[in-house]
Amino acid sequence: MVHEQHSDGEAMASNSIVNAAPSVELSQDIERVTSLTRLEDDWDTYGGAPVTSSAAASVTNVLRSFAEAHDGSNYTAVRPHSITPLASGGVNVEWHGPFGELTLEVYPDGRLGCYIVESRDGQTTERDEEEPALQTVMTSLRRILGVQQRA
Amino acid sequence: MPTSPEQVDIEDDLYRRIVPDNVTNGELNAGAFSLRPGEDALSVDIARLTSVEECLARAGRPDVGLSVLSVGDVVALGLTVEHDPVVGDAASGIPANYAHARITGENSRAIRSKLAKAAVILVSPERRPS
Repeated sequence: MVHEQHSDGEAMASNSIVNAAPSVELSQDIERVTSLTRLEDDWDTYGGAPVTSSAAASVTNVLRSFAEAHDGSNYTAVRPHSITPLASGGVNVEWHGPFGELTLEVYPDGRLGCYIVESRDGQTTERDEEEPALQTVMTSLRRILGVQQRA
Repeated sequence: MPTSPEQVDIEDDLYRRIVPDNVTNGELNAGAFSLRPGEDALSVDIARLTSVEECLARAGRPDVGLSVLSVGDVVALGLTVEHDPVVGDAASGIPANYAHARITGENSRAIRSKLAKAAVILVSPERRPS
């Protein structure tokens, strides 16, 4: 079983135990997002702003939507690799998969931006989208992670 | 202490402070290279003009670590590095920092991600007990 260590020390469980406690993992990630709003000014020593409530609400909505799209029973399959603060007051959410990486930037006002690096058949492509639809992000994420949509 | 800017060499290394939230699974994340509201350049220190200890001391916090990246890697991303010495102002609490430099240019999601991959953690930040 593989465990990833989040920067705040929480453990991320692998697919092998996903069915044991899916809601716990989602709750942990939402708590992680909430905790970022409690950062102090200058949290990064370069004058960084704490994550805004709008950004946190938007990230939470994304995570809940992704979990719902996977019936809540396979949240680990779409669980982010990292949820980290940006100095702007936004949030950076990253997913790493066998077919590339997807970076979701949530701006301080809650808007989304997406950067995707996809590797297939020995070729790597990059693309960047401003204010993508959530469904578009979800589709790209499934491609990166190699997971199927819920039937 | 001199205050006039020097030429930045392509072989120079740059230090940027990092905090625990900049590290995920032992690797830097893109947040380490993000700009605060209103900021138009990333602050770094030119390694040959300072020391690890001085950089860490400037933060004035115990949880801070340090990352290093090469000017060559930064320039390869289409960015520019300018030496920008800080004279300092005791009245406002701004310390002098002759080693200070600015990385200017695009600070997009892609650039931040690539900077995070190019940089190396020199001193790991320590998460303080809450």
